[in-house]
Amino acid sequence: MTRLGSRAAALLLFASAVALGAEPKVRINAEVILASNNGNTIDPPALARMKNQFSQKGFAFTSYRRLSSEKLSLKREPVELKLPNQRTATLRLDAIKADVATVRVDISDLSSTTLTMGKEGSLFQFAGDHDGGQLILKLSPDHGSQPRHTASGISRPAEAVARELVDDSEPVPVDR
Amino acid sequence: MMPSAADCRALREQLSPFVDGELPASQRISVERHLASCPTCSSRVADLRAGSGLLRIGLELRVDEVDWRDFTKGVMARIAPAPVPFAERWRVSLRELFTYRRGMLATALAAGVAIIALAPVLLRSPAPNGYARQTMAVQSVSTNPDAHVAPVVMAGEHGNAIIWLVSHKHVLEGKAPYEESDGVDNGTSLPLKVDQERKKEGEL
Repeated sequence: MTRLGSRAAALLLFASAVALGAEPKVRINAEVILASNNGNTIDPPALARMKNQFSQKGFAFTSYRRLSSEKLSLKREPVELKLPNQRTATLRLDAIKADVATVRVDISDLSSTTLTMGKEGSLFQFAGDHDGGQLILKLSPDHGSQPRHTASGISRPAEAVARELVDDSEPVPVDR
Repeated sequence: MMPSAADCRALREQLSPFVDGELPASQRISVERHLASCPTCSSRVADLRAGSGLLRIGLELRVDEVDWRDFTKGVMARIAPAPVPFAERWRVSLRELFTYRRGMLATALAAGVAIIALAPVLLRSPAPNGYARQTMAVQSVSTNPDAHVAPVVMAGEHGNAIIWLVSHKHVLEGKAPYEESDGVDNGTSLPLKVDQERKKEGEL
């Protein structure tokens, strides 16, 4: 019976470790894209959608080339992404609250961005000059890890942040 | 003294079992006494033994001709297992389980109890994957002071957002960045058309 007891205890310990040791993490797609006016290359062709989005915002780049694409699993420890212009993009999971992941993105010597992840959308983060063009770090959700349940977060929309960044005197209220 | 014909008739039925060695000892002694004094029955016994020998030799010859290699397999193939009732099979299985597999049974029960006990914990704290929101959203943007740039966040549809950097000079003068390029690593050194609508919103 002693052997049986030890087996049961080991089983309980294992199950407890599994339950408690699940470190929070979020999966994310990170692409590095070079936008320039050197030629009319759209590589891969899927970047035509990005070109269209940028055109709508007034950007006149004629060439969009994807230089790299990675699926990252972000945890508390920062993950570094070496950019071709000697800069480094550092991504880190800040927190997960109510199943909403907050991710911090630092472009070395340039900017720091905090964003909340969602099922849809992409963040196009300027990442410096490179090879006669502009590097753009595109962050998008890893669809393979998306749950089926609906949103419950309370993050502010990008418009509110944009207005607030320009007008420092009056923070823009969140209309949600 | 010669035995009578009646004695011979009485023993005739016992001669064949006698030759085959099937008689009990008392009858065998009686038959042997009779044979010792009866040449007729002795001759009949000799005939029976000769016939028996011939029969044995004949059978042995037939046996030699038979291929016995798959005999057992053939016999076993013809034996159909008797169908055991379902309840009987269960009874036997359970009896075997409780008799010879007590340790395994107890371990399985302990595992079941442990899983039931831990189920609330396991179900309450699933590993979150962080995608409860429908769309991505920018929370904050800051820039390195040494870069002398200011961030501009341009929101698109379906949670898309572009974060661009413009020089402080452009922000302070309220100029569109494409009007002047100061060489700062701000993404504005190449043609950047800023739509008037966005300027009205005060993004730049």
